[in-house]
Amino acid sequence: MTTRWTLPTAAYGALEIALNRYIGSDERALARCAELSGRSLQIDCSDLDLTLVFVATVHGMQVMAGAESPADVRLTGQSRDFARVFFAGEEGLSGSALRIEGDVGIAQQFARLFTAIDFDLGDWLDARLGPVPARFIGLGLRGAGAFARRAAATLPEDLAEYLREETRDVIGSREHAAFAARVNRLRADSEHLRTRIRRLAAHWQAPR
Amino acid sequence: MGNDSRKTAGNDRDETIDFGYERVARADKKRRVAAVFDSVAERYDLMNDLMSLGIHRAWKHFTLELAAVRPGEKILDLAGGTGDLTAGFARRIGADGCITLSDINTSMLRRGRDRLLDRGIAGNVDFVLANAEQLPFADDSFDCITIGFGLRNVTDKQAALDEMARVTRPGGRTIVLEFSKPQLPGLPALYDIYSFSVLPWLGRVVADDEASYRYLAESIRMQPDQEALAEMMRSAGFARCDYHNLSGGIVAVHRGYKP
Repeated sequence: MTTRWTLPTAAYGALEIALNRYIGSDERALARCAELSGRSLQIDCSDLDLTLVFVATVHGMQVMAGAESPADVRLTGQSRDFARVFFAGEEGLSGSALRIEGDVGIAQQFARLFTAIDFDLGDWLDARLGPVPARFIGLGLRGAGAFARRAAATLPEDLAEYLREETRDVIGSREHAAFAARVNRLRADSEHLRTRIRRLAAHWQAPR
Repeated sequence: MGNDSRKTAGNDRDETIDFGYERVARADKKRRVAAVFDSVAERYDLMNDLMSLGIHRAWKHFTLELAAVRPGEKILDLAGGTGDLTAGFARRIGADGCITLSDINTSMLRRGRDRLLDRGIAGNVDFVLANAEQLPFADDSFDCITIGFGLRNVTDKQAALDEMARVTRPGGRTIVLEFSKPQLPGLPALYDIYSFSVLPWLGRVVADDEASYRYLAESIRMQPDQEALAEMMRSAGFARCDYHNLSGGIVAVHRGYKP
């Protein structure tokens, strides 16, 4: 008998609250959710042995560990396949590695809803803190985000420069080419020397 | 002390009913619960903070977030007492929405109204003195109904849930925030010591009313556990009933949707 992994009940609530915060902050997402009202999607993550059931309502999404009745559509696959389809939007549902049982149209509507969620941090902070604190916090967070993106982009270059110039563990291509040319010349000179020695040896060993 | 009496609790529709660990005549329970809340109304908020070490605010915040109310919605906060949930909802539903704060107890409702007005929350809030078993509202009136720490004080809990189902709009939800059965190993023993030693002591020292806080501890033990309450909600006609345990199951948030 296999035991399915179940999150603590409050974790489903936390997931639902986070999801509904995004949905509530985007009118189009809320409208799409209302269109799907009453429809359900069951997700079975085979690698995590975890089941999640999403039920759309007019005011957001209900997230449960299981449903009283079978879901309209059931998707089975690995967590990374779900992430590619629902969150990264890297591939469509039909071309994915997910197994689909039930109404494909509803699955596609759920996928569109999840991938289209557009969360505006500025609006969210503005509604909760007022315009002035929200602007300062927003600027701070955006600055921190830009710094993190810059750092992520320049990290490989900085690391390479450190290894090349500071520790000398690696060398640049020009330096490598010069070094390789010296090695080639040394090899050629060694070959010439060996040939001459061989000829000299042959000369001295020849009968006189 | 501290026995979990949920399984031996009588049916809410028997001639007698539980009042804490006592069995009393049905009419008596309403009178005695009213006396408890008349007595604690003045120091209700202070005692809530002391008894839960402030965690009741997190439980209520979770409930507000789980309700996911939208601007313009119509909400009923049953047994709303001093209006903690009402205050949160009033901000979320905006000027186009409407929330009704309802309680059976005049002292608690008056305290809730004064407290909300003092905090500048007005305009989208109505106040209704009502018995949860016989709600004075038309069918399908509300998008969302909440009852926070109130259901265990209702004489006929099933009748109250039936009424909530009646006045919830199709597609709407009812949320019950209530003490429940601790689920973590070892927690029930600690919880019993706290409930039957610390709570009555706090009641005596801070509110000069030990009996009311002993009733609180006992009434929590007589409250249906998580699965039993979910089943009662299903019996009332709610669909997709689920619940979330908070603080190891000391409190649970139940939710059901009206089909």
